[in-house]
Amino acid sequence: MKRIKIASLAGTVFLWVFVSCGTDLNLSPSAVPDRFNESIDGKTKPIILPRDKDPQHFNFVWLTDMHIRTDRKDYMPELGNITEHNRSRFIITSGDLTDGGERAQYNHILVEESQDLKVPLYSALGNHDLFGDGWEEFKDKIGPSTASVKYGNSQLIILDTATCEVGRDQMDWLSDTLHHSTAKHKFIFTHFCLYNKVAELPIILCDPDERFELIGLLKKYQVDFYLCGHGHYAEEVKIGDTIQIQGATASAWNNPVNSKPEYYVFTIDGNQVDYDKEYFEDIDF
Amino acid sequence: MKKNLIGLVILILVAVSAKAQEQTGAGAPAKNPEWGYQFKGIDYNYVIRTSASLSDTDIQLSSDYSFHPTWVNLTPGIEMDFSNPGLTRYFLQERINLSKYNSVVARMNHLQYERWEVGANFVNLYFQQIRPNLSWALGAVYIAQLLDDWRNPLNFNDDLYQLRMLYQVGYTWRFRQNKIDFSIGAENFTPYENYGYDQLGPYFQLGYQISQRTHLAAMADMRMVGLGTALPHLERETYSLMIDWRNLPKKPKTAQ
Repeated sequence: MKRIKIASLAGTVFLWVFVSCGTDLNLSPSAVPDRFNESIDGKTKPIILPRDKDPQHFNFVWLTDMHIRTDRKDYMPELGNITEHNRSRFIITSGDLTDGGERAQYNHILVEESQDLKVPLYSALGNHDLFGDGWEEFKDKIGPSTASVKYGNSQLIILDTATCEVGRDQMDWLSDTLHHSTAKHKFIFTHFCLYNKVAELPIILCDPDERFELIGLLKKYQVDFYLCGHGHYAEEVKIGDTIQIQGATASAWNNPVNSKPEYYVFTIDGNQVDYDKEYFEDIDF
Repeated sequence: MKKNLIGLVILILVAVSAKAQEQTGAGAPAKNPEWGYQFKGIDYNYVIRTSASLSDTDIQLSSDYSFHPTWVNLTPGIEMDFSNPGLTRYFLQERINLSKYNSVVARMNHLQYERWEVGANFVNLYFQQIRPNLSWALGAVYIAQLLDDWRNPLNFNDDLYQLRMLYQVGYTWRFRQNKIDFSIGAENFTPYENYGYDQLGPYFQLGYQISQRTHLAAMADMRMVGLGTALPHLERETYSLMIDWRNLPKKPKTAQ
């Protein structure tokens, strides 16, 4: 009896150590601090903003979770038409640009970009973009995982939450960036949302303390929009004075749970920001 | 918010009704327990917690008072964070002992982060069964995230509220005439953090019964996240050293 007790105990301890040590290995091929440092040190494809005579008045297209694959249709040609029709300055996504983080998928995006788009495409990093050697491809072909640029009177911040965390260094950088920003409008583009209504599902930023700290920063620095994705579920909530929009997918094959594939057009008109939600299936131009 | 509070009251009433169907048997509490004040014990924890957002060292103190062995068992507690003075956490817990092993726990937690100027009030409500070897708990927490009036422990503003599932399951082995115990399990909340964190938390605890009244335990708890993103990783590590003192009557000395 005693032997059985000791054997079962030893087995369980082994399992526990295996599980906890296994998680410490971090199955993600890259970690937030590494990606953050590479992005801030300029070791990625840079963000080059379009020239504009009047950047106080412009519009851009925001969407998320395109999940682009080489073997399935995507909405890149439609995005070309949308940006041309609206005279948008750029397109920006909140991550999961690719479905599997594969080199072929990133190459496919570059080809489509050159064929279909006349404006730049920027993207936050999503968890799907990280699969395999995703980060190595993303940083060379898409851009940084963390960035802040000022366009006219708007601060556009790309935040890396692809592995469901922000990390100390990136959080301090965000706080510093917001603190020094003189922009009238502040936008954060990132993959994971901070809040989902009613039931807390494992689709929002994982660490509650990080959520509280981020919410505190949104409030303190009066961030206008927190634009996120990941949930494949369209939802819009107000966090204090900040509007958080969890975009549904903009994928031609991976439909959102409660909506249709969608995109937003944000129009900055001096001190005013307006936004419209549109569905890809409704495009008639 | 009102609906949630009403729901909470109904759940407690259900628990109360269940208790009203008087239990019998060896495990049941006395049939006619009396009302009266009793100091049940005190619990002291030294906690080291490391995560991406907060790395802190704190002391948690809680004490148990009973005014009725079944119905009114109160535990107020406070967390004093030395490494991060801006963080304040305290709670008030009520445990309804349905039987020797089963109880329903309702707990109000308040957290405030001075540095971030936000706070949160949580109401945990869960069923817990603690058997000599097996323990488990299942319930839910109502979370009111506070951006305004964030120091108010009674602000349950429903502008930014959430519900979250709480779970815990553990198994305990005892050795050397129950002097040493070893527990292992998984959970997403513990009494040593005021609310549920993350998705999966394997933990183990090694305990030593110093005397009939005093128990010493060391616990390590790991929290994993990213299970739903296929990028699982360790998010939070918690290590604690706990001393628990129970106000038990001393054993009468055996006659020679």
